Amino acid sequence: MVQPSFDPALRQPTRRPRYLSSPRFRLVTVWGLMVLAMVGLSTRLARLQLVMGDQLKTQAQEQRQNLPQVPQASRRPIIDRQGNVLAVDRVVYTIYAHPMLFGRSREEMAQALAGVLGKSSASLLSRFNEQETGIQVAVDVSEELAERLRGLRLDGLELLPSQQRFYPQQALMSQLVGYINLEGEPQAGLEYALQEKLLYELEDVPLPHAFHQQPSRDGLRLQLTVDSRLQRIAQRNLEATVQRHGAKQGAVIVMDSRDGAVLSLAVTPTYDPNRYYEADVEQFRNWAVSNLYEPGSTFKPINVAIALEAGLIVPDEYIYDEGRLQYDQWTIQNVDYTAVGGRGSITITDILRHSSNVGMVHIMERLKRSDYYDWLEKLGLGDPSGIELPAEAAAQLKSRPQFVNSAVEAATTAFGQGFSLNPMQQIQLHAALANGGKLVTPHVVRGLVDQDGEPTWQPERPAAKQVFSRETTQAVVEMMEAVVESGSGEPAQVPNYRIGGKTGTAQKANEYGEYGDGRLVSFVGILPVENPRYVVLAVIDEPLGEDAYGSTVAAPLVKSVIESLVVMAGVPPAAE
Amino acid sequence: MGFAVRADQDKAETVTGVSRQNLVLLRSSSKSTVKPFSGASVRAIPSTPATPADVRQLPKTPRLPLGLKLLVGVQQGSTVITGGLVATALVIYSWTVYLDKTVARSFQHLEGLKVATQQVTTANETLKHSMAEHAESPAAGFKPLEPKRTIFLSPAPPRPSVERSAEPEAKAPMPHPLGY
Repeated sequence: MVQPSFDPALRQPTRRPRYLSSPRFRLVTVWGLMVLAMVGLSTRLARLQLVMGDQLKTQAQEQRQNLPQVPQASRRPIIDRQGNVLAVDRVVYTIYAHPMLFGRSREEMAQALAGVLGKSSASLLSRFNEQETGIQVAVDVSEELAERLRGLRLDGLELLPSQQRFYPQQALMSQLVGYINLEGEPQAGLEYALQEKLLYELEDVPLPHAFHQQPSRDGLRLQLTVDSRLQRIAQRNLEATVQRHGAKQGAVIVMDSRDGAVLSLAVTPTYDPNRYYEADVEQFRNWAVSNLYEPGSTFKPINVAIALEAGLIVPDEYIYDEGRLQYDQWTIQNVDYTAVGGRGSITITDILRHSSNVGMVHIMERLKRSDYYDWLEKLGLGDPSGIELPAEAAAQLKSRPQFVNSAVEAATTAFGQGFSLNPMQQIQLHAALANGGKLVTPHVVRGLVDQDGEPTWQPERPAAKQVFSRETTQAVVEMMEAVVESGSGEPAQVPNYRIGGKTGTAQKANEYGEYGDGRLVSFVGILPVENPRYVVLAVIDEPLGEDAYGSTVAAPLVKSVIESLVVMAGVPPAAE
Repeated sequence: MGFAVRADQDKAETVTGVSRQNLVLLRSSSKSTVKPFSGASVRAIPSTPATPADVRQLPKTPRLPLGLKLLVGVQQGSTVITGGLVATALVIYSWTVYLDKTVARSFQHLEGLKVATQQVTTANETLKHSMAEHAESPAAGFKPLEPKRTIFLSPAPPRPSVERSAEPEAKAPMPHPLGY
C-alpha cells in the first residue's frame, strides 16, 4: 500500500480530524469489525457446541419423541423347533374419518369406504352425519387394506399405524408364549419371562431430516424346543379327553430326557392370545408349571429307584404285601384291598404292576427317615425345576422335623401323597429314570437363533446332576415296562413298542386340607425301553365318574401322543 | 528482460529532447546502466543505412536471491496443493451427500422389504394354521400319525465319500519332488 506523501502544510484545514478520512483508518476499522464479528460467532459456536451441546441434544431428542411414529416397541418373532412362527409383530392401522375435511360428498365417501372395509355404507353414512371430526371407522386394519385405502386418495381420512403382536397359531401355544396387551406390555408366558431378549435394540435411522431411532430388525428369532405338530396332536387329544370326562383341567408334557427339552406342553383350558381380553384371568397361568399337586402312584418308580440306589433292595426281591397297614389312627391300604385283599409275598415289579401302597411302604421303611428326606431334597423337591416359564411353583415338602419324627409321613410319601410338586417337576424326575440318572433342567427355549438357525444366545442352565446310576434306572424302567405289558398301564400299549409306564390316581386335598372326592389322575410313559429317551406325562384334574383312574383316563391319552411321537421322532419298533 | 538496441556509437549527434523514451543504451561493458531520465543516453536511430554495429553479448538474466526463489517455489507449490485440496474437498463433499442419499434410499427400501416380509410371514402362518385346522376335522379324511401306517427305514451305513483308490494317494506324503 503506497501512501503518497505530501506536505501537511499544503493541506486545506478541515473540520473532521484527519485520521477519520484516511483510507488506512477505514480499512482497519472494517477489518476490526469483521474480526470482532468472527470472534463473536466463534465464541457462540463454541458455547453451543461444547458447553450446551449435550443439553441441546437431549432437548432435541425429547422433541423428536413427540412426533407420531409407530408407537410401541417391537419384538423379535418366536418360532418353534421347525421354524414355524408362533408370534410375530405386524403393523395395523386405526382409521379415523373427519367429514369436515372430505373432498367428496359423504355418500360417496361412505360408499368407497364400505367397499374396502366390508361394512355397510348406510351405517357409515349415519356415523358421518353424527360428528364433524374424529370418527373411528375401523380398528386393526391390515397393511394391505391400508394400502388400498391410500390408493383411493380420499381426503379426510387418517390412518394411524400401530404395532401389534400376532399369534398365528392362536390358542395352540398360548400357555407357552403368553401374550402382549394392547398397551404393548408383555403379560404372560415367555413374552413376559424373556421380554429383554425379545425386544429389539434401538438403532439410529440414517435418514436426513427425519433423524430418529427405531428398532433394528436384526433377524434374530427366539426358537423354542416345542414341535408344533406334536403340540397340535397333544392339544387335540387332551381337549377331547378333558371334555369326555368332564374334567376341570389337563396337561400333557412330552420331554426329551437327554437334555430336558420340552417337545410339547399342551394345557387346557387355554385361550387365544390374539383375543386375550376375552379370556378368563385364571387361564393366563400355565397350571402345568404354577399349580402343585400330589403326584400319587406315578411317584412310586422314583421311590423304587431311591431304594435301589441306596442298596436297600435288589430288583428281584420279594416283599410281603398284607394289603392294609395301621399307623396310629391312620390306615393305609391298597386301592383294591376290598376286592383282592392282601397279595402276600410279591416282587417289586408286581408292587409297581398292581400299584401296591403297602408294598411301597415296606420298601421305604428300610430307609432311615432322615436319609429319605435327604434323598427328596437331593431330587430337588423344594426347589423350582428351573423352566423359563414365569410363576413356577416350587414343590412343597413337609418340614424336616415333621417328616423325620412321624412314621406316617414317610409312609404316605412312599406312595406319592403328603407332598406336592408341579407336573413339570414330576416329568423332570421321570426324565432322570429315562436318561440314566441325570437330573436335567426342563426347558422350552432353545435360544436366539440367526437367519441360518445358528444360536447366538442360549439360556444358562446348571449342569445336570447325577442322582441315580444307569443300572438302577434301567432296572426301574424295565419294571415299569411290566406295568404297561400286564398291569394298570395296559391301555397305553402301542403294538411293537416297548413302553414303560406308571399310572397315578391321587386324592385331592380340599380347601380344608382333607382328602375329598376330587381326584387327580395321571400317567407317565417312558420309551423306548431298550434305549429310553422320551417321557410323556398326562395329568387330568378332577375327571368325573367312578371309573376315572390314571389307567382309564390318562393312559389312553398318553398312548395317542406316543403313537404320533414315535413317527415324528423316528423311533423304530422294537426288534423282535 | 531488457531490450536489445542497435546503437551507433559513431554518430555523435546528440538528441537533446527531453521526451522520455524507453530506449536503453547498451554499452560494451557487461554492466547495464539504466538512466531513465538522462537525455544523453537516448539516441536517435539513424535512418540512413550504416555499418552494422558490433553484436554484443546479451546480459545474463539477473539471478534472483535464493530466498525469493524459495518463496516463489513455495507459492507455486501451495497453489497446486490448494487447488488439489479444494478439488478433493468438493469430491468428498459431493460423495458424502451422494452416499447419504443412497443410504437413506436403500434404508427405506430395506424397511419396506422388512414390512413386506412381516406381511408375508403373517399371511403364510395364518394359512398354515387354517390348513392344519381343516386337516384336523374328521371330514377332511386325514388319519393321525400312527406307527402301524408308517414305514421305518433304518439309515444305510455311511458310504465312503470318494473312491478308495484316490484316498491312499492323497494321504501318502510325497517323499521327494517328482519330475515329469
